Amino acid sequence: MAKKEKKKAPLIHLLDCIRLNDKTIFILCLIYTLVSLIEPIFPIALPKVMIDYLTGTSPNNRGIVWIALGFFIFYGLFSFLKHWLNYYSYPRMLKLRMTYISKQIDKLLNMDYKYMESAKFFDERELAFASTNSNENGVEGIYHKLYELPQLVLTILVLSVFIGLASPFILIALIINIAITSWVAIAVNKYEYKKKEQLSKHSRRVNYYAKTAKDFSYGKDVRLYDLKERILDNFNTEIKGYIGAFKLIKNREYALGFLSLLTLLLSDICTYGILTYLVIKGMPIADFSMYIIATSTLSIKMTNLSENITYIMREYMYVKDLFKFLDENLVEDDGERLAVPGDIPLEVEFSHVTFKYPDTDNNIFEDFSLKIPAGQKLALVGINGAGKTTFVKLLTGLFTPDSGRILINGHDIREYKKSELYKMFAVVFQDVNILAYTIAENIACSQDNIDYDKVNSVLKQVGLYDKIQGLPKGVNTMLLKIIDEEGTVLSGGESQKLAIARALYKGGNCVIMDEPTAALDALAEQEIYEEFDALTKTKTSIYISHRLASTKFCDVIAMIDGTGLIEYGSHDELMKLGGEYYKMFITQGKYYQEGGALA
Amino acid sequence: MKNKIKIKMVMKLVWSISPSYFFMLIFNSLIFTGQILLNVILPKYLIDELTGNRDYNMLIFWVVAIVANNLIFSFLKKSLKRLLDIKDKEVMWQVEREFAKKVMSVEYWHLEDPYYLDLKERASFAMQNQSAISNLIANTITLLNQIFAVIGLIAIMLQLSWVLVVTLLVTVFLIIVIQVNNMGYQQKFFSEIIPVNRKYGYYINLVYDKIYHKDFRLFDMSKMLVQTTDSYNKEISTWFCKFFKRLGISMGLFQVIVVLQTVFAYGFVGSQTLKGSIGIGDLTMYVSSAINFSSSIISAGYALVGIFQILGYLEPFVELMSVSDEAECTGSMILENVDSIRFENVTFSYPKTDKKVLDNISFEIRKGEKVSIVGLNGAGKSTVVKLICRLYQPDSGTIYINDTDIFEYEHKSYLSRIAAVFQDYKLFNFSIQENITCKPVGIDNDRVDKILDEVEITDKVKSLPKGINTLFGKEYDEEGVEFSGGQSQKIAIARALYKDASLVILDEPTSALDPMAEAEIYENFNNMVGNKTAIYISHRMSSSVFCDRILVINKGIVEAYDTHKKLMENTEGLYYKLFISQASNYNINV
Repeated sequence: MAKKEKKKAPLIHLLDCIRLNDKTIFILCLIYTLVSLIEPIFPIALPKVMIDYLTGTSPNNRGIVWIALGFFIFYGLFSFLKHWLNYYSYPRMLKLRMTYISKQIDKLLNMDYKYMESAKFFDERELAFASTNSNENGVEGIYHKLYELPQLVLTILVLSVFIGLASPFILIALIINIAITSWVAIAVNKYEYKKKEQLSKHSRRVNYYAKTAKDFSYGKDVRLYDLKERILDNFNTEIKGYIGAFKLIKNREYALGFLSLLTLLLSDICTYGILTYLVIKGMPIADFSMYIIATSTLSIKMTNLSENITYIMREYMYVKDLFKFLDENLVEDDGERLAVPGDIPLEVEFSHVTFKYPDTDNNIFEDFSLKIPAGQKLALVGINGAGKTTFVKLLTGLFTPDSGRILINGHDIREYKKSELYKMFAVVFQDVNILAYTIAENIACSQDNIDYDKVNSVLKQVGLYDKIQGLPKGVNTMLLKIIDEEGTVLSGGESQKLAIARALYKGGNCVIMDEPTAALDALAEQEIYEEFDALTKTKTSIYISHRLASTKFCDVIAMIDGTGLIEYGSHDELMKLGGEYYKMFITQGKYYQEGGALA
Repeated sequence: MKNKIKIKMVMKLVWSISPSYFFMLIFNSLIFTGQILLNVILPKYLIDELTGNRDYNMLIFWVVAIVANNLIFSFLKKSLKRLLDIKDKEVMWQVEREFAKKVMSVEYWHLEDPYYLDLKERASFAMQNQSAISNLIANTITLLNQIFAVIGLIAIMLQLSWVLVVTLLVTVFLIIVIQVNNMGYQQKFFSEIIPVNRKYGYYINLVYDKIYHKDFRLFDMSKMLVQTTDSYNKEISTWFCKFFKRLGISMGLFQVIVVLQTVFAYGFVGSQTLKGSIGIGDLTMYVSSAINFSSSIISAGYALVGIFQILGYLEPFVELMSVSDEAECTGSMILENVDSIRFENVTFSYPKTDKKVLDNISFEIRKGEKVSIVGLNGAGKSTVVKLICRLYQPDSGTIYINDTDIFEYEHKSYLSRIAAVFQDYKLFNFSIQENITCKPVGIDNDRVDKILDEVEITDKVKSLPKGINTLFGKEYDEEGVEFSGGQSQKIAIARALYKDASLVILDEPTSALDPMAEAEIYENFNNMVGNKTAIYISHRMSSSVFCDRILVINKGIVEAYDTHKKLMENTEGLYYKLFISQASNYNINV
């Protein structure tokens, strides 16, 4: 991971991206600018030429046809070119946006995991992420506007000179009009930005109802607890709240708009008044028509330019956020040490570890120490919230302790290269995340160099082989139905097995299972327990559960609560001790005993 | 699906939301047209005056007229825009609300059918990413404006000559030919690109979803994801390049026709002036009519393309909105109390599947009885619960409550007698209190407190800044509080207990609870439900020890239905196996 802190202006960033990906855009833009500069000449000149001819000496139909034909050929050609070029370049900007999406994805996948769990991190960058999700805003929006920019500026310059030569007053009035109109637009934008928080609060609320009420998984509870009317009423209230906040902005826009009405008045009076005056002073009527068209063309172009610039300024704020995110260093320094070779089990030691999640107040671990000798099978037990999953996140380097050290084979895990550290662990989490890839890809976690023999052998080990052989495409069957309608959906137990197969395929030196049986029936649960042995062999392994039955096949039990390690020892030792573990075990086992006794 | 049907449906929907919206739109079009027409007509008089008498008063009059016309119309437009901006948003959100209403009103089975889930996702995608509704409306406004303008302009040009109008209409016909050709292509294009886009969206969203990232990192999956998204990036941009190239040519040709119209107008009107029948003022008027006519036609054409494109996106929305609502339940009997439940030869398979989840099952639950349903994953336990809740109808056989077919009961009274905690229960970002009572008013606070005590969550609730009035979850408002899985489950159980029902169903209610909390729930459970009838589903076999009878379902049939004691006598039975497999782990040999 390169860690140079680049600081480039967003505009340079955007241009750099063109330079690196598609230089042709510059040339296309140049041609487009030239064509667009010439194109408006025809509609402006046509009335002058025609009226001059008609009011001149001996006009005839042949002459009219020639003029018309001449204009048709050139005006038609340039008009065609201008529009065609515009469409031709459009998807190139889309491609540029895609490169930003790729960068964003890459960044998200490679930044430190701790940011993933930070709601604050995502809230703050919401706008940055939104700046690549549509053709019409953010990055791509700015590209489209930038493409138009040189054309607008040059056309305006040329037309300004042209009109200014006839009457500078018209030009000045036009400029005042556009300046005020732009100022109004900017003022409204600023006001909107100021009200952003209020508006986003309302939009968050209204979006909650839009999302929740449409969420199919809420359907049962909505029906059974008769919540439909209630939710619709609330939804309505939130819509009203949102509209109320939105109205404030629009009212401001409306009020400020009266200013631009005034300047419109000024510019219209100047244009028509002065041109009329000039005709009286002897300007041909053909020129009158020509200047009217030129003025309105200039006015349109100026409005476009002002919209263009206000648009860019508005989207710039979001794009700036995006570039900030892309340039941010979100990867902590890691070490150089490589993974311990595959067949050597790990010795793990937590030494005086203190940790709390970022932006929270409670320590999950306080001066926590625990040593797991190489090859040991450890059961980590405790009530909900005791920090069992946090233990895994710290050990695998997804989070870093606030103080204290975690050692693997005597070396602080910070000495290891992150990717090498990850290599050493095969983890099965409670929530198995099946992705819409093929079965083989889900197991190998890769699309290249899949070792199919190994895939088959791990499937056999977890007992999924027969089921998958029965599918028409075998291990190449897509999972889930979202991508492939013929895809297969696995049951909860099968998904767990697939996750175990994934861990088996990966190998590693240490196996961790985090509550893998919570949603399974008793027989499936038992199967998983048995597979645990196959998975672990001689490796160091950690089994996390609040089902104490799982402790039977572990060497040692570590019981933790919110403060740290409270009991440690073999099952028999802890039962003799009669402490928390004993109490928990008895509580859970009591009814099995009674039930069994009844039998 | 026919576009006509789609438009009709959307328009009907919008009309039902706000009829005034349509009047605003029409008024807006009138203003738009008025301005164009006056802008075409007024300069003629100024030019006539300039080429004629040059009377100062008249000149000033016409200049003022032109300026005033612009000013007044700009004011009107601005005012109407202010109204429409607000109305647009309002209508858009109300459409979302109607969408939500539909989801909450359709027969429940749709919500478990992947087809409809997919349909909903696609509909939402169109609404959010393509802002389909507001785009559709914006394009409709434009189309309407331009049509009005075109009619007015034709009226003006007819003053001069029908030849001009007819010729222009012929060129319009050319435009239509290009456009129709285009539209066919576009529709095909969008029907092909939408699914690709959606798949792409799936992979992109994976990366934004935190739940996957532990796996992504530990199993080094980032390369695979980057590969997939990149290949979609390439695929999509290739598609769009092709599309825009073609679109560019037809839009360019479009423009050539516009030029043709303009040039023709100049030529034709010019030659009319040669005859001496009209002056320069008329020339500019007719020519600018013709120019405005073609630009109106072009804008109308763009708007039309836009409308068709959006209609393509809206197809899933329209399809979803056309799903009929839950039939107002046939029955009219009021259910007072659940005294007994009886399944008689009930067979059931989920819609669009062949597999019989329940195969001719019969059993009876007596008043006040506590029954546990036991079976392997996928055996049909939750299905029994859904059938009792009338979320589905059996394919054959009948479910009786108090010896009456459950479908003969009136809908509201029926559901009011049943309280259930589903495996995938959901709570809302209401206050804690409202989540439990499901009512904003008429709350019995003492009862709520008592139930909070029973599910042992009082301490947690008391520790919150606003106590029982604290908002549940942060999604709606940042001030809300996130609850852990176990705590949420307790609130869900409290909700079921609060409901004044005579049948309580708990489907895996303790999976997120730790053993201590679980034991508490078990031990208090009978106490909590009191003399109500209760159905209980759990993989923790120890829970069935508390129940009066256990219904063992195996592969869709009732394998056994008896007391724990009796079932344990059959060592070959599924129940015995399940129980022993867990119990064997708890031999306490101290």
